[in-house]
Amino acid sequence: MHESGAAASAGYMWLAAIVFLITYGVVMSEKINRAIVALVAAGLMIILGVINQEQAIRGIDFNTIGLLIGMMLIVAITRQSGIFQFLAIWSAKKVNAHPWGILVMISLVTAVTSAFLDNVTTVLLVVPVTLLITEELKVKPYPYLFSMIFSSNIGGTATLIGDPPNIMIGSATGLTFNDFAYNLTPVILVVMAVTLIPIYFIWGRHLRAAPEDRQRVMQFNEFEAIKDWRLLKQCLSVIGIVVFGFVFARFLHLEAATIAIFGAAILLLLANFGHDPEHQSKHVLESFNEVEWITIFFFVGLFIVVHAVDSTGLLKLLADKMLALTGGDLKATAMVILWSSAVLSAIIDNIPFVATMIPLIKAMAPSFGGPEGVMPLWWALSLGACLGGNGTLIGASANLVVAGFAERAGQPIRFMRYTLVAFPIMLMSIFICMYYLEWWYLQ
Amino acid sequence: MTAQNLMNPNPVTLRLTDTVAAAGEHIIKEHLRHIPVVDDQGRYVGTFSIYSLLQLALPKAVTMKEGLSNAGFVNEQNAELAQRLRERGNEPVSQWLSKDPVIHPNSSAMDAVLLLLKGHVSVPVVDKANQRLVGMISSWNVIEKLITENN
Repeated sequence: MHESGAAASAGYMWLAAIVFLITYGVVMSEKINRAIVALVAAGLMIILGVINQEQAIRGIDFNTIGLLIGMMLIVAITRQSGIFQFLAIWSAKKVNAHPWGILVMISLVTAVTSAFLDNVTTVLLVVPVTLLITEELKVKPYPYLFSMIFSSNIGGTATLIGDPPNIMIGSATGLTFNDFAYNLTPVILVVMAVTLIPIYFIWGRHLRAAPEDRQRVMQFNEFEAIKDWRLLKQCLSVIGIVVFGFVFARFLHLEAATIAIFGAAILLLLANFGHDPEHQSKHVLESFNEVEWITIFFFVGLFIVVHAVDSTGLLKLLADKMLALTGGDLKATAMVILWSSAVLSAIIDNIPFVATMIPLIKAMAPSFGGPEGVMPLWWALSLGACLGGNGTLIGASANLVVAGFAERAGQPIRFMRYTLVAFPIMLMSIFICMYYLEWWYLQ
Repeated sequence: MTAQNLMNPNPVTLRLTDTVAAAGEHIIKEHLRHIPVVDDQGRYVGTFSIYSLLQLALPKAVTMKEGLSNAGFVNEQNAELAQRLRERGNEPVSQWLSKDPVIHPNSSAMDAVLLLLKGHVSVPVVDKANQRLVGMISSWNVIEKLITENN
């Protein structure tokens, strides 16, 4: 009886592993929409008996889902105000429309905005202004777009809400907004500054613009970019309250999803207040349509798939193997996680990778003295998975959005040309993180 | 009644290698909004429109897909818009074509009128066998024909 139970359990482990690997393969091939793949795989895990529906629902991290939806709604409403364009133009004028100064300022705006809002939305709104500015200055937009890709991924790494891997790690471990800000923001500031050095030497020092072209940019009226001042004030107030909520989440005894969804609900209320019900329905529906449902359902399916794999004991087995490989040494384990997540995230989607790594690292906790002991491993995972996305053009969604704009502007970003410069710069950022982790946590 | 009965059999046409400036001259001189473009064999390849000219006067960042939805902050004068249009005057029209739905000479007049009603200012009439452009139908052609019929 015991033997047949063990055999059945091993059978489920194999079954779960096969479904999991096929899911990974199909997601990577990009032949089928990733939400469809994840939901089909989740359904298979239940139908094949690896887990039941109740366990599947328990596997979904609703804190991550809620945080993502809440922030997507806040961004969807905020983008209508024109604040992103305002910031880009304002920053360009602050440096007297100097081409290199603009590159630095636009990169900083992108990084800071990406730290608090979704990376894709940030580049979607800042890239068109950047293209307009480069067109007016008669300079090639390539260095600007290249730098924006890096800035969006670097900025997103700095906070709990900046990038999906951080949201997932924070939710799974209980690490707060402040934990992320305290542990990641300092190294991210260094990475951002150092990243601009090769960009300067490769392109920045050659950027020139005629005085009359710079004058044209200086004549831009950034205040005209604001489409709705009332909405802008409402959005900034709500974003301020939401960030306050994240900072004081522990004292307020609130989860991140509650803060984000409540913030979104308040913003919807303010933006629709005083309008007739028909207008409200139309406006609310428009905002809901802006939520990236493909990403949300991809997460739902993925959480179930990973939970199913985890429930068979496979991830615990892999964790043990990894510990055996690193000799149970925390430093070696952190380095393996940092470098493997960076290189893999440059090639594959970092979301399924992080979803898989979370239970794996949790399983290692007892070997390192509990949850406190594996803290460096979470930072290694976050830094590797988020910054690794800079390595290739397919490393992160924001990269592809920028590449799409470049193509339409007649200045395509080619995969190999990008990778040849981006991959070494990404590796340089991981080196910085490696020394930071060693110096701060692993001595 | 068929599309053939409604069409103008001698429309102004452009070649793929004609320049944007040349197209602009035709548009102004003949008061046209759309000019069909044909290849060396006279086959319909697309339409160059007055909207393409307007698009060329603006920065790409404004007119591109998912570009700026609001460009009110750009303080450009007429002279700057005109200069941008002039600078791009030597580009061939082939880069700025839209592919409109076409009908065939023996398509029903009803189909042609429906296409016009859907917002197409003019509809190219193309030979089914060799894809050659045989005429254009505009709302003016249709109304003119219908009024003459009543008389």
